[in-house]
Amino acid sequence: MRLFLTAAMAGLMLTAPATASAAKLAGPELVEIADISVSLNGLVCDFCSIALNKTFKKRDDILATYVDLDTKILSLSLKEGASLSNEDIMKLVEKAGYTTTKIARKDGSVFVPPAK
Amino acid sequence: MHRFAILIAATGLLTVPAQARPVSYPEGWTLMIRNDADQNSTHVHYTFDTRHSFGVRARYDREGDFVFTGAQLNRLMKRRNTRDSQANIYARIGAGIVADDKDASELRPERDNDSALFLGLSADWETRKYFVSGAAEYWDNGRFGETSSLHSRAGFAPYVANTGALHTWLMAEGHYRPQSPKKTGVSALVRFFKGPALLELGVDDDGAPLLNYIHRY
Repeated sequence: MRLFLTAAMAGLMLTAPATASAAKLAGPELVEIADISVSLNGLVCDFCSIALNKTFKKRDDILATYVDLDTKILSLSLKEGASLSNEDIMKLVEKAGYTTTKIARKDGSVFVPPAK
Repeated sequence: MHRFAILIAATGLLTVPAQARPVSYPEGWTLMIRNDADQNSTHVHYTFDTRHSFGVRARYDREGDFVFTGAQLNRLMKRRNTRDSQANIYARIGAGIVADDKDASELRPERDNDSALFLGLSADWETRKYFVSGAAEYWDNGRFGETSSLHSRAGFAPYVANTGALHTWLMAEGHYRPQSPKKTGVSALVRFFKGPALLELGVDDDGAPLLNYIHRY
């Protein structure tokens, strides 16, 4: 029992720095300046936002990400000169375990995937 | 196995479930610790694609006073996403060895059948306000015998928190363990959830504490 409690406490101590560093990379301020806004189904908790952030941040063309649970929108900021197709976005969302309902871009274009 | 099939069917009928989601995002690591009157369990797994994770599991069975150590494969059988909810069905299978203190101290020179196997099925449905889940497990613990269990859980969030904020849930969990002297029981717990960490603190109807912790890396 002591071993499990120790492991639990160690995990808790690791939590604070991880959360703090993530906040520095992206936050709600990204929503206003995002290149792409992706509306999603299935967002119910912070684990969902972590899954999406980590999945998209593995891409070289992504500068920053932010998931807003209230609006259920994933905001993406791209690196200069980079592009990301609707198909790639939907594949990445699906890889993370969620469903894309709309992709809106800074240039005003909107893509709504056909219902499955 | 026949008994396990009945338990699985009962789980579906009762719309139970309990057990946090055992599959994370691809290439993500997860630490899952569960401590209650039934067990002390640690499961570390790596999610290698959207539907599967694989890892190691160590579980001390408090009633049988033995330890299982082995590997566990988790599969996301089905996920349904809607705008306001997510529902999942998971299956899991594990295999390993069981041992107790007598094995370690050589008080039991002859050991037969110290291999173990377990199977599990769980389901959950969650919005940002409400949560229900259920799980059924069957353990073949070799010379320590067979055990099975049903767990169900329901909870609600007293407030809805946005990304990165502290999420709080109040939950009740019930269980049925047919091989146990005390077959049924309930626990009350509070879940704190922030970023990659989830902590649950609770107490059961016998006053035994419950402490669960999950961390996604």
